[in-house]
Amino acid sequence: MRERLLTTCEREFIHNVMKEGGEDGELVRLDGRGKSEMRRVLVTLGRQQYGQATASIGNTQAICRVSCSIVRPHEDRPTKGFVRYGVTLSPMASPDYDAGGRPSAASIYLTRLLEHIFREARALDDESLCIVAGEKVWAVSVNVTVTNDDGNMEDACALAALAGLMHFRRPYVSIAGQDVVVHPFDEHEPVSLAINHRPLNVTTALFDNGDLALVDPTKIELKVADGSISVAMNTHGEICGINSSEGLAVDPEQMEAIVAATKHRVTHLFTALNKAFPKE
Amino acid sequence: MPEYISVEGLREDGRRANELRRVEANVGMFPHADGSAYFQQGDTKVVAIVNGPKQGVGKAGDAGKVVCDFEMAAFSTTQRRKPLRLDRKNAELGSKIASTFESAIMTDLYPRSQIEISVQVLQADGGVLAVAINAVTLALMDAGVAMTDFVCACTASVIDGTNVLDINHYEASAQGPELTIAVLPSSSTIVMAEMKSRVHGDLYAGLQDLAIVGGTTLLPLLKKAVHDRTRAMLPCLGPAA
Repeated sequence: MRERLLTTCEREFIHNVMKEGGEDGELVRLDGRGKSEMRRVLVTLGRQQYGQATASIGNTQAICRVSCSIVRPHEDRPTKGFVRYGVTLSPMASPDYDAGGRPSAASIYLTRLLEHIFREARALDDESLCIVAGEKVWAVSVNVTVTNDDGNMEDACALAALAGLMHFRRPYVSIAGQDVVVHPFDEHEPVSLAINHRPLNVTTALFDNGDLALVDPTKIELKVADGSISVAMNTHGEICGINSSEGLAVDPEQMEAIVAATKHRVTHLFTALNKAFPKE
Repeated sequence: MPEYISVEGLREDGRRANELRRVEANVGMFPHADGSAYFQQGDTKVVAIVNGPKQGVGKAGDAGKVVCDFEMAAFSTTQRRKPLRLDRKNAELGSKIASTFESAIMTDLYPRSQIEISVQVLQADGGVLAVAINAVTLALMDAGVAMTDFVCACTASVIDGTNVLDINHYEASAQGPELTIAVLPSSSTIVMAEMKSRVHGDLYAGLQDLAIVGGTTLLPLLKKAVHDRTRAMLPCLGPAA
């Protein structure tokens, strides 16, 4: 379906609001937030099943479902399990997205973003997914569905995926001779995944050739923005990936400032995540 | 543990930490395309072809659209890879290149049109995205597409605590961070940033500065390639020129 375009009036209004600011000269956004203020972040976990998590940032909501199966490993990497990521954008999220068919550029971007921050930054220990070297390994799939798109799907998807991975438990397996026995959950305590470090994403939208940067952009702000930049960082303050979206133009100082500021911005997301996992 | 930087401070291929690989460029070798370029950085070899600006397909906008088709040849890596029908990695790189050039091309001058870029990687030896962006810059210049500036891209990494420029495949296998940055050299504006793997936040600034220096160092080399091509075209203007 065709993307809804902004009218010139809307575009100028949003721009003026950001330029002129409120009564005290402080910058105010359409929803009353400040420049580097995030919307309300909430993480809820599935009660019935392991590996189910919902993350919402304001009105943007993403649901993650983690599942696993036993497969044969790749010949070159006999001791490594698989972790697959997928992001689905359905018309439920926004009329901008088509149902079925080829994955859109936006869903490819989000899927690759998850691969960048989790796989390429080696957040999961894939060797721990091995059952019998060269024979059987676990294949974990992380499926994220965006149920409502109000901008900043990047952060919501990463948050949902991380919460899902942390919540997930795989069945315990024991090896008896040649056979691999998979124990149901009621027979043996299930096992959680080995997570090396926990990366989360913070997205900043850029306006006026990088002069103005707004954290956690809404959908309408993104339509006015030049582009956005997503920085993933873990609890140790390590950058786990940087991705920029279309039409970005930013000077190096601004870029460094955004990366440096991610360190304390990401703690806001971790607070919300830790609330969902009470005692760990 | 393999040694990536020797005691003398030399890398496996004999370069210093802040040295680029040897660059070779060839512009306009495909007469059927509007613009074409071959760009080689070390053993990474990329061909880029530009067609357009031509009539836009689908949504007609006031500004021109840039589309990019990114492909890796089956023989480009050490292992032969069967091309997939839909390769997410290639699709992602293609859309990254397209959006990078959307900020450099003066798209307002091409309403209701589209510029098609095709990238074919012949040999992948590290820094594929950066080399592809450099090749596309040359191809767009050859096609005479109006741009605000050259787009120069370069990678930077940290290996054994040293910041290194323009890493090759062997150095990428050290699994250090890989930062790819595309800059407009005259204003040193960043138009694309991508980072893989992880690095501590405090090290980022040094890494970014190095990648930008690498990009600006490439500028005279890219300029020379365009000048050479233009000089070769001069006789085509006839004796009056």
